[in-house]
Amino acid sequence: MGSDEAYNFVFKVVLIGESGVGKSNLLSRFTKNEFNHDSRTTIGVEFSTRTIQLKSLIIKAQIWDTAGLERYRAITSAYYRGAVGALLVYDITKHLTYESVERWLKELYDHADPHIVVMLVGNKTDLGSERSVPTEDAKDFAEKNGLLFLETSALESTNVETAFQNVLGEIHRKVSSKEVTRGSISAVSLSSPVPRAAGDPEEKKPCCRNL
Amino acid sequence: SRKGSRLFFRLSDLASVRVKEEGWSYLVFTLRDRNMGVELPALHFHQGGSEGFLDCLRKYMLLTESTTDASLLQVSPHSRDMSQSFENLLDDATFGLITRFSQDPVTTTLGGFSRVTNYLFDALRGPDAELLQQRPVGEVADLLNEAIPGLDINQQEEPGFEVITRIDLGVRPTVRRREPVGAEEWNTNMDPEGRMRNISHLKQTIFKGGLCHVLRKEGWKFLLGYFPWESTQEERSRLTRRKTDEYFRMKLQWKSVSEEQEKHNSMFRDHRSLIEKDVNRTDRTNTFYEGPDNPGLILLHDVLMTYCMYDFDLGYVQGISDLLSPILYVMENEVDAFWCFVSFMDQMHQNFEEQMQGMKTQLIQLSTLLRLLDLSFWNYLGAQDSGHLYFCFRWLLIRFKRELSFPDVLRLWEVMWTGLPCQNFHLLVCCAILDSEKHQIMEEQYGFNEILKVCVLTFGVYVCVHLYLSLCVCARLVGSTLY
Repeated sequence: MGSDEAYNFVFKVVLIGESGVGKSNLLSRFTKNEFNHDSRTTIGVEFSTRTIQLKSLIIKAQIWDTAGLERYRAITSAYYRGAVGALLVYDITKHLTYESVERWLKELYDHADPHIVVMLVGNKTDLGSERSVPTEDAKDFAEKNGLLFLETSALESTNVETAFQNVLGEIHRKVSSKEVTRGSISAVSLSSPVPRAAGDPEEKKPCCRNL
Repeated sequence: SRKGSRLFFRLSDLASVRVKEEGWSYLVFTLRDRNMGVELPALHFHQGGSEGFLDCLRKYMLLTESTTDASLLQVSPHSRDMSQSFENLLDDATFGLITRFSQDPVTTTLGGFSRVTNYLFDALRGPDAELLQQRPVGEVADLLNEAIPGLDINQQEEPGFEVITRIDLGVRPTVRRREPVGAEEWNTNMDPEGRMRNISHLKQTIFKGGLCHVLRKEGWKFLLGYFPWESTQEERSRLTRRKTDEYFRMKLQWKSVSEEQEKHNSMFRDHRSLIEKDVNRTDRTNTFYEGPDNPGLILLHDVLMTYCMYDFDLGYVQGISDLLSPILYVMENEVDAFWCFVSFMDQMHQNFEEQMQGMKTQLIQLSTLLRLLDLSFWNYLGAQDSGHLYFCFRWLLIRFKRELSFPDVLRLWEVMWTGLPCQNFHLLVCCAILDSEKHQIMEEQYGFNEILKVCVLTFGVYVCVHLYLSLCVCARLVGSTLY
């Protein structure tokens, strides 16, 4: 998993979208290469990390998986704070989950850094025969709104890696091209210029190892 | 005489607020001309919080800094909607001010706000503490002194206000848990007709040690209030028969909804689809619910659907299945599980309502407690934008169901259902968990995200100690007589 490795950047990324679209499984696929049909309903937030190499840099992705239920949104939106990336997930077989994308986007821009990198993710391509959201529709919407776009299957492990990689890459591009001024990115926590030594204190907690 | 007096005025009469600093902050209110520019006695904030108070005021009135004097805030009305978002409410209401403001948003009794002691009472006693506020000031202080030996309440320094100047909980006492109550002990507390005796003593022993697992099926029905403690065996049999009929009558209601009907009932459809989604995601590693065709899943589904018919206003909200699962696991019977669950939901209902009032209240109460128990940590959290304690959200919403192992949940819940030593014991459990995380949080200078992370990851075997820790906090708070 590489969580004990040194890293140059920590990027906070949030997973948002309606209940049941597969956010938690996208997270577990990316961070643990696991998929679970009966994964628990997310209450509040859950959390996982993975460290990846991007060109010469080592980036630690700190990924926060949020509850999709409308009622808890007032709370979950408070967790967006400091996020520099977001995967806005819908289910390609459930049109309603796509219809609410606009609302989620507004929610995100209201609470997160204005420069946040957002990817629209149509999940569950393994259920292609039940598709109700055409790829082109979502793609157009993403283009119009300046979002990255990809369709994934957490179950078949299709495009999951690419989705996260692209988001992290785009965040890094923004940071290094100084499109985002340092002042406004309370969001990006830069580690010390020298890569941090292995055994970052926050990784030592016994409870983290359970993950 | 100002002793025991209250500041009382209409917010619409307020002309200005002067903010003064003398090591602590105090506020002086001046009323409008028709009250002849009356200046009211100053309101002192020895432990901080004047900013929070002003922020709260800003919800109702526009406060603008005077161009000539920065310490003077001029007050004018603004027409903003009174209803506040969750976030705003909590940011400002760490003192529980909002609850009282919202009861009477325009006319309000500021004197009450300054009495820190009342908040502590609220936080420990839960909703019925309102009554205490009717009591004379001195009496409240005496009561509080009695309840919390380490507390230093000074009534002289500011006539009319109690100022809690110190809370010293002393050394953490050693707490030894008692053996769980077994069948034999339970039966000695039952008279020949089946009435339970020595109820308060019995509750205390359950509080100290819990129940043996075999006894839970019976004991929980009493603890949750499905069975009255003083009922006879005969009465309970009658009750069970009646409740069984009632359950199946309600079950039939949703069972007999036709496809056509369902098509025209979006509320019903929404609840059903949420329930179906969540039943498949609740405790699937527990033997009672694991595997694809486990009968436990059908029971879970049916009880939740029937609860929907029982309380259609609430219906089903995510998280509720977590509250039912342990009860159903213990009861192994849908009727008993349903009625026990109904009683539990009576306590938890507010957490899930549209406005989530229960969550707001609890977070405010928790903040009040934490502030008193550990001011420096409370301040630290505030400085890290974590003063709203959102990271405790899941702990409170479903009573540590996700943080503890399944057997620990059973134990903690039965302990809480005794209602000892106070209704809000679960808030002390929160304080205990935070207490054990605080050194790491403060020493490593954790910020918003790290604090959230520590609290979200707090689960598993590692946490079972917290029941003991909270008993320690509790022991220090209420004296060790209980143990």
